Amino acid sequence: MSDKIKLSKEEVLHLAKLAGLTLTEAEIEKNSAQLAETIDYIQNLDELKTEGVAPTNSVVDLSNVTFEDGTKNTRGLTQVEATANGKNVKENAFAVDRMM
Amino acid sequence: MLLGKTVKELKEMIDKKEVTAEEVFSFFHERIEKYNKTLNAYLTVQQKGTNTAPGVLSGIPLAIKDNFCTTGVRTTASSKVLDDFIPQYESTVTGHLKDAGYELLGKTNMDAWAHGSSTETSDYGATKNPWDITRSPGGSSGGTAAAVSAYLAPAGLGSETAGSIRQPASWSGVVGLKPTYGRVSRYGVIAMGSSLDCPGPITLSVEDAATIFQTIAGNDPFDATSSPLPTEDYVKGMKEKKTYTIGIAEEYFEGLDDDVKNALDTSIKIFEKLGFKTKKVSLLSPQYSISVYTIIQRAEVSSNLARYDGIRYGNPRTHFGSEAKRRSMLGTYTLSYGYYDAFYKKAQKVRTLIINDFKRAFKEVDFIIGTPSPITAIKLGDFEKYPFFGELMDKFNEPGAMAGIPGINVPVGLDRNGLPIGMQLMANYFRETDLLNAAYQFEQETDFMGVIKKGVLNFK
Repeated sequence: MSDKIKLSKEEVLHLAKLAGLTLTEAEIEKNSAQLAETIDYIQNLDELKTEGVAPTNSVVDLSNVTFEDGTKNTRGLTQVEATANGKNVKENAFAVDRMM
Repeated sequence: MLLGKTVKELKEMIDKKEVTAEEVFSFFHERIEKYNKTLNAYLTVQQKGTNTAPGVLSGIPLAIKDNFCTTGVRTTASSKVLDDFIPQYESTVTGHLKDAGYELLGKTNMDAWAHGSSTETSDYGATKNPWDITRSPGGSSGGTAAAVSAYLAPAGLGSETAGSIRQPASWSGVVGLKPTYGRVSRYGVIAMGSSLDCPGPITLSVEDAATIFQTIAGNDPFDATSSPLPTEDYVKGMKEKKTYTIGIAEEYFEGLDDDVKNALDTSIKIFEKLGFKTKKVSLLSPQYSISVYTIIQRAEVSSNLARYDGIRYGNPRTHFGSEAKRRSMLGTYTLSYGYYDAFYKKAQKVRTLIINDFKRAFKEVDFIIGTPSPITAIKLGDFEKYPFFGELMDKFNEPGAMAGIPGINVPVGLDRNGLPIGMQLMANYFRETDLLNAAYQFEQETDFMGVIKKGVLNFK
């Protein structure tokens, strides 16, 4: 992984597609250089030995945090509230483009 | 009469009926009307106070960073994606503030989605530093820091992923507390890096920081990562006379501006005068934390920003700014098939090393001393010149953020250009009482409030 990483225009566009983003020509150019620069930097982690080290997913030592059975949901939204910020709402439901 | 008064002082005046809550609100509102055009600290300003709940903050107006959901009040995270978003529910922390009687003064500017260290990535323009309006107040909580620094609020809320409370507090000459991850609820805070995000106070005094922290800390059933450990009486605990051992790690003194370095050396002497011991410790180089942070935070960003579909709320994804796009794409890259092990998993493992490293150090010392920023406030526009600059500038905050330990910034004087310098103490998990205690003693000894108030009074 010591070789300088380069990102082609196609790779940048592929990442943008995966992330659901649209890029301008200038952004494609800028990102292929800057993403490569960043990726290059973060490879310094290879200098550290991590064999046998467990990965940290969360710094809090908690697992299976759940509500007690029968807990009243005090923060649920009504349908009107839930759709209050929608741009295209019909009869308190989100209207979206046809999928099929 | 009110200029420069701390939350505590304002509350005492209100309680003694020397001033009414309405007058306090109007005072700040008028200052905002007068100075916000210059500073751009607030994005949304409230016209009057409406909270009648009695509590430790009743009548106290506060500035709230624009990534805390506030029911019925526009919340944008400084992104055009959320330009017209009106939350239908309240974040847990602002809910606690409401219960304690606070008044919402306004929502403050930030880097868009909290992506940045200068507020320059805000879709609503950068905030200016009240100490020198050609400079950045720092970020991402730059709006709150500038508002408090220019006394457009007596205190406020920021949030930190890695440095976003401490660094703007440092550059703006105010107090900033980054609590232990999980000590303060993230519910209703627009997420950036979910395994890192942490709300905290930005204030004019250590005691105000303790009071606000006391109000917002605690377990929240609506945030599964919030800690069930009981909170402490931070204000009371802060005032018990104690002495501690301060750890000095060479790694946290590398690459400092001369004035910053001298201010830290002076701070160490002041602590010694207070009876504190000092001890040399060695820590993993912050250089590695930059990479761990970059990988993990970008990965979490790409996941968190994926929810903005423009259907349920907000505008379509075409409204994302360049920085959000860049971060989302890097996160997408490091989480991709073939790169996941090399980057994301590797970073998670190094994160374990960072945690173990701090745990080892905190067996020997109570605090690690350093600074949130190796330099003082830089000129607006300078960040843009270096794409990776923000991360490098936040390198002293990233290790603590990755580990989830608390830290506090306290101003320790001015540099050759008259700009504030910040000193930082970091402590072991849930040792906020001790952190505040040491900062409070330092504050009593140095009267750095004098320095802060000079800033407040200077801004006209």
